[in-house]
Amino acid sequence: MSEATASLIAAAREGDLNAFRQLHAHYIGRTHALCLRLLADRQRAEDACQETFIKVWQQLPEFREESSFSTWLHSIATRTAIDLWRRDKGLRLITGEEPDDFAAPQPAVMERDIEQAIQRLPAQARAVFVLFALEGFTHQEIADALGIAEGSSKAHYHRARQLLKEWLHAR
Amino acid sequence: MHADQHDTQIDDEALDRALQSLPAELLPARDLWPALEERLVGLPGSGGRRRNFSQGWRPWREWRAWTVAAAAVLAALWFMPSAQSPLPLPLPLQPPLSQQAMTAEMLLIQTYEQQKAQQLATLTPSAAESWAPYLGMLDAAVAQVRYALSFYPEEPALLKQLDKLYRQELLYLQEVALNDAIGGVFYPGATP
Repeated sequence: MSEATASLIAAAREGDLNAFRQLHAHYIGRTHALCLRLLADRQRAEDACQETFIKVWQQLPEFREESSFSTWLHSIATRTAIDLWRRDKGLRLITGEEPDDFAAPQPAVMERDIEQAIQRLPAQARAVFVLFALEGFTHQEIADALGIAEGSSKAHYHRARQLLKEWLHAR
Repeated sequence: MHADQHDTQIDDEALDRALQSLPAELLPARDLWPALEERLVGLPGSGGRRRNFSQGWRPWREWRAWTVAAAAVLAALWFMPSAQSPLPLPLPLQPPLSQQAMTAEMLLIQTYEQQKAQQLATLTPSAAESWAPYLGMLDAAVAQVRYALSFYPEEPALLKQLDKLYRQELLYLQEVALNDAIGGVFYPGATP
């Protein structure tokens, strides 16, 4: 942790909003990337970011300086995004909005962007893929976080990879 | 090596390359700080322990929020029909409990109903006939919004409306409690 970051954290801990604004500016990109990839919805991702930074603000007194602030913040962001994802999961079950098939865009019209392709994955496959491939979670950790079996996590990951490879192959 | 296996290997490599090219950061489309700052100012926690008055806390924002809330209540009172109808209007059907689980709606309800119950507990029961009809109207409006939410779960406009109605209820109950405490009776829509 740099000295500048440490002094911003110390100031924010004392209630300095200006210092917290600088921390927010520094970490919002990483936080938003995680939330957007996991939730695949701009508004939900923004909500998750706001909730994350509110928790960070409230929990700053508990932050131990020997650990990495970035890691600590990212773990709060991950938990927050997963909580939102799980809440959305309940709604998807009610409304039946969880698609069975990957809505593979046609090469001629799709935005040729892996980012877009990830966000088009079915919700469970997307969450598992993001957490495993991009965030470095184990399947057991994913299973615990998402409330699914470890075997399901592996199956979703495999399915996500297959769908993304099909998409890449079709380009 | 079969052609299929070869293709699969190429696709795996292409996918891994594509993943490695993903940026670590993605900025949101709009600046989230102003809205966040508004929420942080009124919060306990890190900043709540000792506010930095010169840089962070802006008392006029709290006054503005209260002014807006009071104006909303006054507007609601102005446009509401006079409180002549009997106590709580019949509530429409509620969605099944299973559909209410883990929704923003439930969070709102849990938060506000608890506060509402606490405020109601402080009121003098004998004065209930003065405030209960209006509260009944607001309760009926809440029920209507919840009914709509059963068809459109998580609809932001409906959730906002639910939040607004509950806020009106709480503000109204605060007024009632205040008038109760000073021995008066608060009638919605009454000319000051």
